Amino acid sequence: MKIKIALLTLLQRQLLPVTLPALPLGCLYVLFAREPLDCRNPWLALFVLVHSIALAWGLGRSRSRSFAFVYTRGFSRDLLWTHKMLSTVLAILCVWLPMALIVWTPLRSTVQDKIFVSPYFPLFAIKEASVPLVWLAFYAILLPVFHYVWIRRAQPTLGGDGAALLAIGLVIVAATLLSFPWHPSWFKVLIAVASTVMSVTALVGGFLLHRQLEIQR
Amino acid sequence: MSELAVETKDLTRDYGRFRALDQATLAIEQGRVVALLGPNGAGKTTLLHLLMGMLEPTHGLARVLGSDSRRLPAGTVCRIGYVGDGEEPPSWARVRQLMRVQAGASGRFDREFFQRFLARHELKASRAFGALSKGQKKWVRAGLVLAARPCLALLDEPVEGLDPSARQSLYDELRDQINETNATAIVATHIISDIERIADDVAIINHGKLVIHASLEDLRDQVREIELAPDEQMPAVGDGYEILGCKETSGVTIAWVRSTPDQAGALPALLPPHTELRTVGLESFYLAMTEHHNTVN
Repeated sequence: MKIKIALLTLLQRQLLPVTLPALPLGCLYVLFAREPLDCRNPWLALFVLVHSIALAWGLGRSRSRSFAFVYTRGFSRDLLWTHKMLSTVLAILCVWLPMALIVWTPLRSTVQDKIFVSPYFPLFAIKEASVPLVWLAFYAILLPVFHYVWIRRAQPTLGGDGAALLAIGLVIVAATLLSFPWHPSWFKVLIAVASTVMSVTALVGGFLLHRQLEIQR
Repeated sequence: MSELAVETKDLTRDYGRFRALDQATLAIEQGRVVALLGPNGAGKTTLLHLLMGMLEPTHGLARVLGSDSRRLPAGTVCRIGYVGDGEEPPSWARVRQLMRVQAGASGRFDREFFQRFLARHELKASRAFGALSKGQKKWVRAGLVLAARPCLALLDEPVEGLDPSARQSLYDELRDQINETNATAIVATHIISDIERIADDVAIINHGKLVIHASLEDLRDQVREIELAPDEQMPAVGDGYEILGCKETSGVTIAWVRSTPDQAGALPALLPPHTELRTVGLESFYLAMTEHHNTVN
């Protein structure tokens, strides 16, 4: 399957109203948040959640005129699905990568140390290095599920809200339990397995359901 | 006989309890231009959406260019061109960008043709779609489909909002391309006088039912409009004739009768004296089939 650059560009442009506010918002928070960043940070979890919903919504408004336009150009359903997923990944990278770079480069550490004279920095810079990967994991759990949800919702007789609630619930439970120091060592493995199963199931389910997605205007 | 571009069998689509299309069975040969006619809400758009694979049939099936419409493979879907009533490119998209998207979808997209098409209609590729007038938008969408050189063009009200000369010009371009490529076009429209010039076949849908699908040539040869003298009643015409519709206005009965080709000449002898017999135009035939069809059933 060839990558269709023009289609990818069109989908990316469609996501611009989501990416444009998310990028400065995420970067500014990561740069100026005074507390050390960890996976318990509720604002970043909320940011990832809202960003994921907005991305799925941006690509999934199946009753919009432009959605119907893209779906009637002559692209196969599988190609459209692949490009939507690719477009989602690119849109995440546009926001996540600058945020991660702020953490991974000395930028955040320097701002916290020199401007805010934070007692945590530069010591905590190393401890924070793994946190962007946790955000990425949240995206990986949530987005396939949200994409699945919009496909289900576009069907006249089906719903899919339960899947979304399950994904959000899993992220909240995992983040909460992992934040306690006493959680058993196997718990991380359990959460990782459950998340992977859910994410892959949603991705495959979405791919298959997308083949019979009805385009109604 | 040519290969079939579209074949449907008992194609049915329900929206909840409402049946939008009811057991439509038709076969359209390649190289034909089909005028798809019917009142608003008759089921024309639903039929096109089903053929395009945008909707799943409730019952029945449709084969489009040899493939099941429910799972159009990549090699088939890229050979279908579609201009719909409800879809539109994003307003911020430039015409050039739309061309690239369409070219990405259709392997046979003819960029030179599209650029000439734009120049002919004084359209600039750098303009945003939202900045175009209603007529210009129609031209761009039609141009994208024509330049894609589809084997099957599904056009839903493609000329709505265009002035008469623009409508004629667009249909001429479509007819030229059909002649050149042996493609098939199904054109849903309400402007019958325009489509009559270029159509080979007519399909009329009313209340979700396919009332008739026939070639225009056959209709001209076989269907007659009969105006009886005042207070005369339509006589029984016997086997080989079908009364398609009937209406009575101020005591005058007008009926539309279809005969088999070999019996067409015998019809006048079966009718009372002073009966006027006329060939029918598509518009009056359409009215007979949609407004007065039920009166004989």
